[in-house]
Amino acid sequence: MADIQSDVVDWSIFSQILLMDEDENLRDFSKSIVENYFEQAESTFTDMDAALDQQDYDKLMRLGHFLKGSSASLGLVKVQATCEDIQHVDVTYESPHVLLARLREEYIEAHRWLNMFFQK
Amino acid sequence: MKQEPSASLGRENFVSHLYQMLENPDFYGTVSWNQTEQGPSFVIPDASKFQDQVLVHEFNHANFSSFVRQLNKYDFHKVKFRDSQSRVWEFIHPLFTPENRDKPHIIKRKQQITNRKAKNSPPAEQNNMVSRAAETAAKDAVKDAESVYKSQIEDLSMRVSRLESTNMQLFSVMKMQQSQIERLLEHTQVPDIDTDQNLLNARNAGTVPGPVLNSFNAYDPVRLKSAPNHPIPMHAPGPNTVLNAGTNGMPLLMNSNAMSVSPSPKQTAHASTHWVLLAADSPAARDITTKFLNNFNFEVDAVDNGTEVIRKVEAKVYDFIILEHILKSLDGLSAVEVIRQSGIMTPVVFMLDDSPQDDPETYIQRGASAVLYRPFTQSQLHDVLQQIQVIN
Repeated sequence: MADIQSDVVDWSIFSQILLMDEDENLRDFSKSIVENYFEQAESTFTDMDAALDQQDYDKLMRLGHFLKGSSASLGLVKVQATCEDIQHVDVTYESPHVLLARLREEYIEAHRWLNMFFQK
Repeated sequence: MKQEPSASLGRENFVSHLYQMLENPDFYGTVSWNQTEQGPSFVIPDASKFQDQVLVHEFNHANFSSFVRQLNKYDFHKVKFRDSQSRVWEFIHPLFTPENRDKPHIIKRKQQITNRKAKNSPPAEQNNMVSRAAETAAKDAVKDAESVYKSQIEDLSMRVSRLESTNMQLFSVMKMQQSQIERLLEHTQVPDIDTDQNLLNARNAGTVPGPVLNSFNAYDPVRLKSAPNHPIPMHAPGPNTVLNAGTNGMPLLMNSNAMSVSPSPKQTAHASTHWVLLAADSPAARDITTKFLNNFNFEVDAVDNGTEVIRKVEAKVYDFIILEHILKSLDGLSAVEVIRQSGIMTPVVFMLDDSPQDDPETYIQRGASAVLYRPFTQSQLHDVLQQIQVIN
């Protein structure tokens, strides 16, 4: 079982999703939410890379918001915060590349935590 | 290039017209004298107002940049402002003063002065002077024209965007009114239209019009107002015909002997089912919020864009709407504004992110009933729904 005291996840939010599982052993609902989240995140990363290549910062900011909503719903606070930074990035003051690299690290950390939680 | 419109006024005439323009009490405030350290000048606070009110009357054209070019030719200078954002125009000429009112001819076109001086100069120098003067004049003219066009473009694009948003709002209001009319008409629905042989016969014979598409004129407004809000048996208002919503939702003219009004299935369903419209950009946000709402015994329509929000609200009565601002196609605030303007007062909860960009006051002012910061727990959602009295 993963450490629920992790700073990766806001337990008060994440535990709400677990409460919605009808069967605590199967965890159908929470697992499907998390699976869908992984899919969304990975395709969003691909889109973010493309947006960065094309220097399409408007698109990058929209994608930041897109991933932020789901991350917030799952209580993935660190990913949420960096998504927020990307959504409001001002490229004259900060590098979107640096933000995106940070986001990727935090996502991998969250991914690992979630996988551990569901004991995969 | 078109011919300068004011050229027809004659040369010295132009200066006389300037004096007349400044004496005309109708133009007071649009163009007026000003006292500067260098002497008297005249000021135009709003170029587009000046163009419409003064140029048209006094100079028979509505071309501000041409007016500026003309001033330039007479050696007027634009007074520079410390504030580069200022859109006030101010022009000065050392001889253009109220005292010289009766001697407009002393202000000559620049070209003439240059030429006269040039006659006494050696040829080489003459060419130089002429070309230098012409160059400066041209540069000035280009600069002035540029700023005139800039402000005109700004003004126009502002007007265009205002018109566009008005147009969009009117369009949505119209669509919503149309669907409200259709909803009212549903209450008078006859169960089976196809078995009404009289209607079919009449339609085949061409005496009764078929579905009238998209036409408000096809409704009788008096009868419409008297349509009941609840599906109860209804007397036919006319001797032979009654307005009815056809299977495609469009009105048909019906023979009245087939009348037997019963509640529509949708109406029956609505009595026991409470619907919520949810709009969120990301799938997990939609899934989890949907689950919360299901736990409160709400049925949920979940969408990801603002246009869909308007479309859904037109088609169904919701207990409340819960949405975020950033959505695909149309943002949440605009969608809510459109809904409110068409008179639908369904409660709206905005899901906000705890960021400085999100000022809850803005959302309340623009039609939201409550705001809810994300991420939220089921009980936090419950509290907000209690606040706006859509849940016990």
